[in-house]
Amino acid sequence: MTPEERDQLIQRFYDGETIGREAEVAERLLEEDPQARQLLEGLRTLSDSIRIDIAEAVADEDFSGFWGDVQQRLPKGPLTLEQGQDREGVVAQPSRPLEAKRRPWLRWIFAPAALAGAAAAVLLMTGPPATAPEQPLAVADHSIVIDALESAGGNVMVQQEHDDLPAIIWFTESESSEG
Amino acid sequence: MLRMLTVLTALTFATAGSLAGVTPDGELTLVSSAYAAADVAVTVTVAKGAIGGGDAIDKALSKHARTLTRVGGYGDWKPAGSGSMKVGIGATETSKLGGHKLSVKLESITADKAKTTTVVIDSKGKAHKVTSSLGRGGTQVLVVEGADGKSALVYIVTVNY
Repeated sequence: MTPEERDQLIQRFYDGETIGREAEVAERLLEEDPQARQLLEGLRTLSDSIRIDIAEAVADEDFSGFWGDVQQRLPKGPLTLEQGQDREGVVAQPSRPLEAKRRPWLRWIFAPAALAGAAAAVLLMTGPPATAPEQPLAVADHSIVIDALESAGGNVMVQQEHDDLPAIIWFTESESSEG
Repeated sequence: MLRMLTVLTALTFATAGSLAGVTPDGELTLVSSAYAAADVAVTVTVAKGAIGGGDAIDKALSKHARTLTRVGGYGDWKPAGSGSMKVGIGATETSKLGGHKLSVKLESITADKAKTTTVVIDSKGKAHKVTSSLGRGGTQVLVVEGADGKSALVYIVTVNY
């Protein structure tokens, strides 16, 4: 193992990135090779010295003017070319806001579609489908006041369970032609 | 698209606004159109049911299924005729439906109720009469049970005005 390979192995061992039996080899090396031990010790010392309390550092830092600083440092105008500057056939143009491609023909599609949609909505709201089973319509007022009932038959009966339902008036056909 | 929706919305409000009015005491109100109808449209559907019949209801009567299922004791409903008539105030219109003669007289009419006298003349020539006031689009159902006790004719009478 060359000194370079040894250093790399110790570095990987320190970083916990050894694979296979490398960890065993590194441990043996550290037992046998003082330079390997010295390298590992150096790595540990270096790591300790640069360890910073992040929370403490953030608390101490003033970020109030941070974005202003960034904005000030940003280049004005195009990032790669100055306006009007020609480079390899590319001419920088003044920046302009993005805008949707104009499609005037779309209104000729959308206008009838919107009207058709509105008409369909009105139809749906005002009329039930022709094949729909009988439903109590919101506009139908089945409330009834019966002023008089006359029948030649024997029985007359009025049935109405609820105002929302049509009243059913029962008559019985007369038995004979005599009234 | 947005402009189109705006126009539609404006039209809706304009229509609603045209119905708005101010009462003598300065209150803003919606004014319903003045009631000027002098007649009613009467539609009649006739169904024939058999006593003790099954739940079957002819497709042509499916619109009235809910009503027919309320006519207890009868079933196997089949259509027996239908018609419509326009009846003016004080006038009587007569039609032969389901083998019986049916007549409707419009007695009076207000914004809320139409008062009619409906008469069914049975197969023996006898009259069964009801005078009643119905709301707009209201329906009354006349069941005439046959003298033979085997069938019934149902007159579903709707008054629109």
